[in-house]
Amino acid sequence: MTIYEICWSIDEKEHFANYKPKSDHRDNTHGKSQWTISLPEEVENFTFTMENKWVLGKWGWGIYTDAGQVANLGVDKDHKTTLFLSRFDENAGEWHGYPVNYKETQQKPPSTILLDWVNQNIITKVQMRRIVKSQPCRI
Amino acid sequence: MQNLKLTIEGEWWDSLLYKGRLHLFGMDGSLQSFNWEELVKDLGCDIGGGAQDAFRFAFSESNVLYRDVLSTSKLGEAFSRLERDNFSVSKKRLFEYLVTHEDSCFPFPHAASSFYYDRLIIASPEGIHGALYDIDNDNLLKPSKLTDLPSDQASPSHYAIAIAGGEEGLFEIDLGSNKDEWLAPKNLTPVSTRTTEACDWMFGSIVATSIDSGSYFARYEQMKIKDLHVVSQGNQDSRKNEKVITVRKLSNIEDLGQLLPPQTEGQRETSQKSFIWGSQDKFYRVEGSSITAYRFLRDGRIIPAGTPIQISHTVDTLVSVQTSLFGVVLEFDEGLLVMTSDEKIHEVPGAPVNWRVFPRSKRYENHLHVINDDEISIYSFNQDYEIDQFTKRIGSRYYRAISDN
Repeated sequence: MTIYEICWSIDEKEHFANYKPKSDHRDNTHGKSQWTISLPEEVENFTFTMENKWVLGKWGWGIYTDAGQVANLGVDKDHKTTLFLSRFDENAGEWHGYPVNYKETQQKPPSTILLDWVNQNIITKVQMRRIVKSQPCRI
Repeated sequence: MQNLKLTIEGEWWDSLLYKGRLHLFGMDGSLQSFNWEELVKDLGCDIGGGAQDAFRFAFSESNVLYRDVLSTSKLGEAFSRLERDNFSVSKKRLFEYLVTHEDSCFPFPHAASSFYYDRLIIASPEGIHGALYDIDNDNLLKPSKLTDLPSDQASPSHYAIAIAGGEEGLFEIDLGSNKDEWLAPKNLTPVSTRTTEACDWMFGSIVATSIDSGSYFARYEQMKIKDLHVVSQGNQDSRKNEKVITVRKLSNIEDLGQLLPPQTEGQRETSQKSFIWGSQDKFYRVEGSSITAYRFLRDGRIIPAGTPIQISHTVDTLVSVQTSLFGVVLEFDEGLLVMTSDEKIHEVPGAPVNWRVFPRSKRYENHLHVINDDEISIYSFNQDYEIDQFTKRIGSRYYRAISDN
């Protein structure tokens, strides 16, 4: 798949990253979560994550909104359970991403990122609690 | 005696009542403690007309009747003189009772908190942390990490901590008999690899739950023998000078869906989604829009406790559950449903920021704390003393030795 060169600015300083979408998260590969938003929206989701510095080490966490409301961006590995969060992994200078289920330990966003989402009114405190406790969080 | 509600201003994440102090975790990551006993006493004085006794029972000492400190008739009279059942405290008034205010030093936001023998135990995605509570100085000492297992819940009891580790499963930490070593890093004992998002104690056994993956029962035998792995020593206060050791040994992991089969309609089993949980002496099954209770007897048998009770929500929108003496609380997508032990239903509309009950406390077992964006509401459910504890089917049975706090 195409490699996208992503550019964003923070405090008037420009940053760059290469984003390479992975086909197995779009072709119904068994055991792989699947994007349900379009490819341009996936790339935009990555850019939004980088602009907001929702990154910890080589991992970034994304959240998708539609008309100001949190919305689903994909389905889980069972290809049924809807998901509204994404994770982006960096490997050798190249990023890729996929929808994630916050109930899985490695896929739960860190507390600093959850708090930033609350402070930016992207999610409510109710939703933050349900994510932290791995409870159902139906959006 | 009617139910009462006390609302306190402020932006909070979690609340704990312990030994006469109200502990509030602020949304700014702070931990503040307040002299709850004094606040409740003064509020009662302000209202007058015998409200002090009603407030004492409702908010700061729910066991005064069980302990026969106050008479039912005197208390009933105090409640009947209350002209309203809804009270509020401003943030300014609350801070007149401030005892401590500090950064919590625990991971924030955490998933669960509890006090256990003067130790504050916090479960979070960063693990389990504990801190000694220096009662004499109203001070929490520096927290230490017991384990870095990301945790959805930690439930201490029986000299152990049951840990809901999400997809990692159910674990247990043996605290051991030496309290000085309780807050040192601990080895985890895996109990089950099944997904566990919440857990609770049923005597010495553990019920593990997951809304999506189903619930199961880690059944333990309790014996007074000396050559097995020691997990607990019972109630230390009552056995301080005895050398009797109660030993817990995992005997079986049982799927609760199979253990408590769905209700039947004639000869036909229903195929509705259901959720089962348990606490102390009872299991509960929510199926469709009804709740069925089962008694868990001390000899290990499980028997139905009557016919299903209808509720106005369905299991499809269930988020979480908790159990106390006063009844059960079910969180649905858009609010709480409280079913009290007299089998009446109370709705608390609106999805709360957080909520909790205090099932193992001595003095606050009638409390439901509901945190919303800019306030905490403390509901006091006051009917349970009038309920026959042997026959009640909703809410845990009162045992004199039940309490840890």
